[in-house]
Formats: sequence, C-alpha cells, structure tokens
Amino acid sequence: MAALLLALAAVPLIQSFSQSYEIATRQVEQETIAKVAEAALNKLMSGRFDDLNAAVVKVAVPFEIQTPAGPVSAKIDLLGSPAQGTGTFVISGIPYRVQVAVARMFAGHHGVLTPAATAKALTFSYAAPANTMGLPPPPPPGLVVATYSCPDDFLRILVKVTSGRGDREMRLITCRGDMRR
Amino acid sequence: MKPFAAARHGFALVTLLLFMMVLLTFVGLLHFSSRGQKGVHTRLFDQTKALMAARAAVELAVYKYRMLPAEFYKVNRLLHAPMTSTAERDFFSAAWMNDFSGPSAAMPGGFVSPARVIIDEMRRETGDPIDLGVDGCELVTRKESGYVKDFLRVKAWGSCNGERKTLEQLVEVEVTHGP
Repeated sequence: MAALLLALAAVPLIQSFSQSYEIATRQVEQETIAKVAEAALNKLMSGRFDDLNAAVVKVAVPFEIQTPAGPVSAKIDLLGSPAQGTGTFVISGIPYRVQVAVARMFAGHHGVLTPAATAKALTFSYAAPANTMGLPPPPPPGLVVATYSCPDDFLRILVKVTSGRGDREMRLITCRGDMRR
Repeated sequence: MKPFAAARHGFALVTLLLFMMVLLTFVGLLHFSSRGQKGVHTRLFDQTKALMAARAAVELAVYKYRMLPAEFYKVNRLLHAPMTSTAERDFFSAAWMNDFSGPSAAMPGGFVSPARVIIDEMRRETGDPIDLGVDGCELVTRKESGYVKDFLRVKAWGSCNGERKTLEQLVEVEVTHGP
C-alpha cells in the first residue's frame, strides 16, 4: 500500500522534473541565440561601413561574448558587395552558427543625377522656411515639399543565428546609413 | 492487533501521507513554474527584434540630419521662434517627420515614406509584424563658458508582436556658431 502511494506521488514528480529540465535547457539556448544575434549585429553596426557595403577582399570581423564560463571569441568572415558572411560560436559545447546578409535597401546615386540613378536612392522630403532673419516666416505653402535624393547607399543588415541542433533560429534585422559624409 | 502495533502502523501511515503531501506540493509548484516560463522565450525574441527596429529608426533620423543639416536648423529655429503660429509649427514639423512614420494606408500623391519601405522589408525578411517610428527629433544646445555645443536628440521606437521598445539617442553634432 505504501509503495503504491509513493509510486503515485513519484510518477508526476519525474514528469515534472523532465519537463522543467527541458524548458530550462531550451530557455538557456534561446537566450544565448538572442544574445549572440544582438552582439553580432551591434558589432556590425560599429564596424567600417565599407566592410559591409563592399568587402572586395575577405574581411574578418572579430568579436567576443562574455559567458558565465568565460569569454568566447569568434569571427565573422565578410565578403561581397554588399557583404555576405558566416561565423560560428561554440558556447558550452553547443555551436551557434551566425549568418550575415547585407543588402542595399536604398542604392545611392553617387553623384549621378539621372532619373534611373535616383529612382532607387533614399529620398527625404522636407519643407524649410525661407531664410529671412528677423522677419516672421511666410505662411506654409500648402503641401509643397522639397525632396532630396541621398548619394550614399543605405544598408539593411540581416543576422540569422541557428543553434547546434538547427531547430532554433532567430532573425534580427536593422539598418545602417553611411555617416561619413 | 495489539495496541502498540496499531499505533506504529498509524504513525507510519501519517508520515507517509505527510511525505506524499510535500511531494505533491513540490510537483505542483514545479509544474506551474514551468508553465509560466513557456512564454518567456518568445517575449525575449520579440523584445530584441523591437529594439533593433528602434535602432533602425534612429539610424534613419540621424542620417536625414546628416544629409540635410542646414534645412534641419532652419526648421528647428522656426519651431522655437516666438512669432511662429501653431499651424506653421505643425506643418514644418510634420514635413520633417513624415519620412519616419510608416502608415500602411497610401498617402496623398502616392508618397511612400522611407520608414514604410524599411518596415515592409523587415517584415518580408523576418516574417514578424515589425513596426517602427520616430517620436521626436530635436536640437539640444548646451551653452557653457567659452563654448556652444549642439546635440541631436532622437527618440525612436520599435515594436514586434506587441512588445514595444523605445530608444533615445543623443548625437553630438559639429556646428560652428557665430559670435
């Protein structure tokens, strides 16, 4: 009788333990995926613009992640115009594969002011008041707005991170402008 | 059965029942705690995506300033001028900020804002309902003894699956002020 009662209590205990362990493992793995993706994107946002826009020769972007077990170093190899790249982290025995895909969301006209060249350029609109110092500005000119086509490329950076088993994936995306001008 | 033996059996049974109750309480706590953790991963992913969308919005706002600094200063001066009417202020401010909002409905004249193009691209690449925008883009001037320093303050937001993140960035800008 006692053994039966104990078994009744132990069966759900084993089930709960295994479920809890599985969830905790998955949580750690997914948190690591998110952190690796974020770290990779942050590194790419702070690197040289040309390495992303036109990596004519292979560029290795080194970076490291701090883990409870110590720092983990890796590098992302970028090549192409715009750049495509890969890198692999191994954290606690699990490999995390990083894939980088850069694309020109807006292609700059680079000084060639033809309709074809400016068609894909990032175009800003604005309405600036007349520069009349000391006088009140003129009334708003209806909906007349000026536009400006940017000469530089505006990039979209996509980072995809997959974990060791390949069944977990995260896609992070952001944009980067050429701030050198 | 002797009274002593019956008491022993009773004690053993009560101990067993107490032990079972402790076990079942522990199982219950573990079970509900695990269930509570299930949604956390998705939220973490969505929050990170929202943060990166906000970062893209900041990048767009700063880049527009880099491309059109003189126009931004004119607009900014007008917005802070005491003689400016509310209608003028609203118009010039909206004309500058239109590029940073991405309403899905078509705007007059078929205008598609850069923010809308970015949002569409982000949604296409990730499959997530990402959204972004800029709440404020203003010039902050600090005057101390001997120098005047200008900063561009951008307040942007990004969202993904209901998770919203706000990002505020202060960018130092180089301007030569007159005496």
